[in-house]
Amino acid sequence: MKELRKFILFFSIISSLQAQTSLEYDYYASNFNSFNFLNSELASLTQISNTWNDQQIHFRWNGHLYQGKNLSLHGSIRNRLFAGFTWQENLNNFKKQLDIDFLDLTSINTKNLGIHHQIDRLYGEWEKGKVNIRIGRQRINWGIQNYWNSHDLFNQINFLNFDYIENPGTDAIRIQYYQGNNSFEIALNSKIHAGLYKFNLYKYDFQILLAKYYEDYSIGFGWAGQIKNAGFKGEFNYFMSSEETADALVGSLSFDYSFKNGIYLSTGCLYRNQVEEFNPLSLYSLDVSAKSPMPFQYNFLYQIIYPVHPLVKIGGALIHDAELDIVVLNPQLSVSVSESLDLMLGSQMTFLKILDKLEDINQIAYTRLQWNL
Amino acid sequence: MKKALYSLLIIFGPSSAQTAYEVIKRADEHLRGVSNKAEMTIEIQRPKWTRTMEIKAWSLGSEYSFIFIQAPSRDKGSVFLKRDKEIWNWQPKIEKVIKLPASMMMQPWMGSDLTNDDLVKESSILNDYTHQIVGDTIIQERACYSIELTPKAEAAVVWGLIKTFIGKKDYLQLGSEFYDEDGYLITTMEASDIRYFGTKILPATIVMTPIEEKGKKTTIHYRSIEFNIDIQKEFFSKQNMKRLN
Repeated sequence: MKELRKFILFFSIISSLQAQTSLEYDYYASNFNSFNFLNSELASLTQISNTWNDQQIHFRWNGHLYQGKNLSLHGSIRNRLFAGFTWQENLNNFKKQLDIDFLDLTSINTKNLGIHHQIDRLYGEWEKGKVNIRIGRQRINWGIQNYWNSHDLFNQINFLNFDYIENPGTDAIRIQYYQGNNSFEIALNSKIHAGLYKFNLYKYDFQILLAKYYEDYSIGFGWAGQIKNAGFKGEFNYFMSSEETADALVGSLSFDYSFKNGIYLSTGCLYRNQVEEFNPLSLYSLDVSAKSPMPFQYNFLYQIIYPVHPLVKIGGALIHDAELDIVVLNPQLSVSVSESLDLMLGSQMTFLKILDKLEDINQIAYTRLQWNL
Repeated sequence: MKKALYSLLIIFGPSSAQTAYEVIKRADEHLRGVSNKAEMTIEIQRPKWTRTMEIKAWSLGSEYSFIFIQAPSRDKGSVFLKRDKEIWNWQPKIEKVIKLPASMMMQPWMGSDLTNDDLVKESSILNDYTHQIVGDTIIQERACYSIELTPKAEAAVVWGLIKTFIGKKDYLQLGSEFYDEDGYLITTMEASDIRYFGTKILPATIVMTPIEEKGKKTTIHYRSIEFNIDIQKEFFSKQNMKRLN
C-alpha cells in the first residue's frame, strides 16, 4: 500500500511538470433491487428472516488523464448507496467486507442507509512503441476460457456474483511487450510474480503462463480457436506446492455457437483434482481463487441466450457439479428501454442435495436498471 | 423461355463469369481503395422504435479491418478487429479481448438488418462467391450491370444468392438483393445521395430494407471517408485495439 501512495505522489509530480494535458471521462448509474427467499429451515437455523429485500444505487465514474503522447493516469470511483436488510443486519459481515483499504470510505453509516465510495482503479500508464507499463490498481484479466479461468491469478471472479463488470482491480506492476499479434508480459505484486506469453498459430490464440502464486509455482496453457464454426476454448494450470499440500491441476473447456436467428448456445466444464469439503453456508461468500474458481471437482455450465426481439433477450444458465450436490439456475431477461437505458430482470435459484434430496435453499429475484450517460 | 435462358448462361458461363468477376472486383476496389478510414452513423428504424449507432472503421484490403464503436454510450469503446478470417472483440468495461467464433458473424449486428459479417466484411464477395452477369438495368439514371453471386460450396456465408447492380461508368454499387438458401428475397440494399468524398464519387447513404417486414429499415450514412491512408497491416493489432479513439 505504501508503494501505491508513493506512486500516486510520483505521478502527480510528473503530471504537474508535463504539458499537453487532456481529460476524458465517462460514467453510468444503476439501480439494483433484490428479493431474497431463503429456505425457512435454514433461516431458523441461522436465526435470520427467510425473506428480505435489498436496494442499491450505484454510480461509477471512469477518468483518463493524458499527458503528451506516452503518459496517462486512469482512475475509477465506484459509489454505492445501500439500503435494505443486508445493510441493516450487516449480513455475512457485509460492512466489514466493504472496508478494504485507504482508497475506500463509508461516508454515511446509519441504521437504514449507507453510502460507500471506492477507488477501484488507479494506475499510471506509459506506452511507447511495443512497450506498455502500468503501475497501480488495475484489472489484469488473463483468462481465455469463457467462464472459469485458472489463469486469472490477479482478478479471479466468482461466477455466482452479479457484478462481474464491477470486479475491483489489483495493486500490481505490469509490463507488456507486443510483437505483431503476439505478446509477452509480466505482472508482479507482493504475493504473485507471473509471466504470460501469447501467440497466434493456425488461427488459434495460445497462451503459456509461468508464475509464483503465493506459496505455489504454476505452469499453465490455454487456447481459443474454433472447430468448424463453433468457438473452442481451454485453460489449464498446474500448481506445484512448495509446502506439504498436494499439487493441484485446474482445467476448463468451453464451446459456444451462434445460430443465424441469433440464438447463442454455450457450454463449459471445470475440473479440479484437489477439492476441500464443501460448506453450503459459504456459498454466497466463496473465497474464489485461480486454484479454486468453484468448490467442486467437476463443474458444468450450460447457457442459452435468445433475442426474442431486437431489444429483448431472454436467456438462462444452469450450473451444477457431477454429483448434483448443487444446482444453480439463473434465468434472465434484458430489455433495451431506450438508447441509454437498460433493464434486466433475473433470478438465481440454488438447490442443494440434503440427505439425498435436492432442496430449494435460496432464491433471489432481482431487477437492475442501468443508465448509460 | 427460362430453360432457354439458363442454357445460354451455361454455354456462355465461363467468359461472362470472368467479366462479372472483373466488374465486382472494380466495384469492390472503388469502395475500399487500398485502405480507408470511415465514420458512419447507422440508424435502425422499426415501426415503434429507433436506435442509432456511430462507428469509426479502418480497413486495409479485404483482409484487415477495425470497427470502433462511438455510440451508444453502453457500447462506447468496444472494438472489433478482423485479421484474415479471425475476429476479436475488445470490451473495455471488462478490459478483455475475446476471440469470436465464425458463427458469431452470422448474427444480426445489435438488432440491425446488418450482420456482424457485413460490418467486418468477413466473407469476401470476391472469394466466397461465383459471379455471373445476367443482364442490364437502369438505376438512378445510371446504366448498370445486373450480376448474380452464388456462394461457393465451402464458403461460410449468410446468403443463398445475391443479385447486385453496378454502374457501368463509375462502378458504383447502386443496389443489391439478398436471397436465402430457398431462393426467397429477404433484404434489399439501395444506395443514394451520391457525392464526392475527396476525389472519389460514392453514395453517402445506404438503406437496407427487409422485404417481409413493413416499416423496418437500416440506414447507413457515411459522415466521412478517407481513401488510401497511410496504414500497414501491423496497425491491425490487438495492442492497437486498446488505443483506438
